[in-house]
Amino acid sequence: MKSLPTELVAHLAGVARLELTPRELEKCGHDLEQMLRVFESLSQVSEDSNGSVEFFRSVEPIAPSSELSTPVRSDVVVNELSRDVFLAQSADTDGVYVRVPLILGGG
Amino acid sequence: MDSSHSSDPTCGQASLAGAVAADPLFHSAGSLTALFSSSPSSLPSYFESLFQTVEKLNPMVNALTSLEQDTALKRVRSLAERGPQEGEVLFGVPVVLKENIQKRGFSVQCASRILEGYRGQFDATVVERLERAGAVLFATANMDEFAMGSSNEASVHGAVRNPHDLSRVSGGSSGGSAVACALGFAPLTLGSDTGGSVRQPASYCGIYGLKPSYGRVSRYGLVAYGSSLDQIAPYARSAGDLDVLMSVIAGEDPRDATTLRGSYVSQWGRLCLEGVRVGIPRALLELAANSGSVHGSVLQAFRTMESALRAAGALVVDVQVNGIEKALPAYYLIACAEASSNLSRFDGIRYGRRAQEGVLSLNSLFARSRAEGFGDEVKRRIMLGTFALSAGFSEAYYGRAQAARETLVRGFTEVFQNIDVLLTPTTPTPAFPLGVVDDDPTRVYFNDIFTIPANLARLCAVNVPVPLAHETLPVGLQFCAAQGRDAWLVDFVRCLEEHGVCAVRTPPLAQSSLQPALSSPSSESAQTDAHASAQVAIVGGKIP
Repeated sequence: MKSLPTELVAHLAGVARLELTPRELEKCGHDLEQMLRVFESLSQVSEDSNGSVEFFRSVEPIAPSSELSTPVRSDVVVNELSRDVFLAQSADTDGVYVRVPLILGGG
Repeated sequence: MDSSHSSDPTCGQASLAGAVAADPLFHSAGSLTALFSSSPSSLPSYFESLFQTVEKLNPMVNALTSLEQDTALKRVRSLAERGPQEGEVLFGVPVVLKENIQKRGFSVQCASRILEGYRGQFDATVVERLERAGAVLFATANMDEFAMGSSNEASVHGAVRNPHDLSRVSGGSSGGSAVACALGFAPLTLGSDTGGSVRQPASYCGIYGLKPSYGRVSRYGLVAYGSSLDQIAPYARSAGDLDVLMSVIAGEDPRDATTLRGSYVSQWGRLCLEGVRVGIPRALLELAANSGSVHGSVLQAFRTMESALRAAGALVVDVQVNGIEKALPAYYLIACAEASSNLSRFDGIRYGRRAQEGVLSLNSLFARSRAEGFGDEVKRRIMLGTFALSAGFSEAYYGRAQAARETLVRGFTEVFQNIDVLLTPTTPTPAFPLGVVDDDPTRVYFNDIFTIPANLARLCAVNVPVPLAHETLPVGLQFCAAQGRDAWLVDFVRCLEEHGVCAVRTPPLAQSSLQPALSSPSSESAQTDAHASAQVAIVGGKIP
């Protein structure tokens, strides 16, 4: 069964902040390999250039139609939600701040 | 607002009803508004009987995850007391929300363990607009976890069952909202559509599902999956109801910088099928057919529609949309890349569930909370997205996916200079059986082949249910129009409805609601019971 290298999958899990079991890592490596094989077809998208950066440099921008533009609002800070709203969403607070475990020294 | 859309099959019936019991088979939003506006005092009894219906049927399909009776009844009584006000075009109309849309006090669990117990802290823009129009939000709907899935089986609440065949999936990710609409829990329900999550369940459940153009409906208050693709999207059982709902929820929103200028301005009754230019992307159909996975009933429905359109005077032409064959891989890379970023906020600190055991540091708290809280499909997509964005690979994968998207956008821009609307199936097959495990995720993703181009290119697209004489499962077809042409598309659906080429199919289960409460469908025998009751109950009328 072809699979992405375990070290790479473990690295990805680390940066994705996901603690995966060895079995999950193995399964994930296999799934990613399968998906990436299908996604290889995308390599033809920019076959005439060295990559997508080149692709984007080579295309003419489409002028957006005025009726499809997005309006902008005034550059004014609005605090629509109070601190209580945000605190109410958290698993642990002291009523003023969100409580977290020790940050320094834990690795 | 016009509550007498000509295609509304129910106008007049409700007002004749006298006894105001919830009737899932015949009540449209338009008829309910008319009824309650002339008789506001009938609201409480209607809702009480609606709750009885829901409590009887929902255990069989698992469509709703919470029923907020107290909140709803409080609002209903207040509406009944004061009566309708100017602009309340959905006065007293029950509406269901997918569990990923914020309403203060309602569950926003997104069918995930990581948001166990999490309730809305504010109202989404769509919620504000619905309530301003007089609607009554009363329940939250099941979904695939964080809207990732095509079968609504990846939910912490358990799978949603198809009301036409309880052994089959409802479709996903907005399966709960689709089933709630199909069974008449509400004439209007909201889901969200990132790659087909409203159109595909609409197709499996035999109702209308519209993905608005990107930016037509505010995403403020929708829990983000793929921000450049997500749209809050409505289900309805008639084109008229879609039109009213879109008029209410669409429009600019200062709290969502991606909303389009202008709004949805109803074009009801203006269009005629004669002369409408319909494009068929034959290459995409061949790509799907060559994979051998397009079901005969879908092909039959497609051919029938093509002939009906020609007969009605539409100009049907084959078109080539550049880049459409690369849409599937481009979509999954972009959606997963955006998901890996959007879902980073669920870390056990600010929202929902926090891991308690074996937590030695902040990083291990993040990693363990997420490992315990997310399901397999969410983890897989976060990993794919992280890969697609990681150093050394992002140019080859994410960058190329963006280039493919750009090609597709240009392809559609060109095609829509010559046609008005694009016709494809919505899904390659009707609803498939529950519990079919496929080890290859790419085969599962293939279900989305017809729906994702509209999300990538920011177009509007609608599933229309197609009547098929000899099929037990509903089949749907998709019509897709240029970005911003939502009102035109809904009026086009009205034309189809009036020509009799699309029609909502009512599940036998809805017709069985006169039967005594059925047992839970957790066993084979329960499913058999449900089918048996459904067969018998067609003579049923209103709920007592």
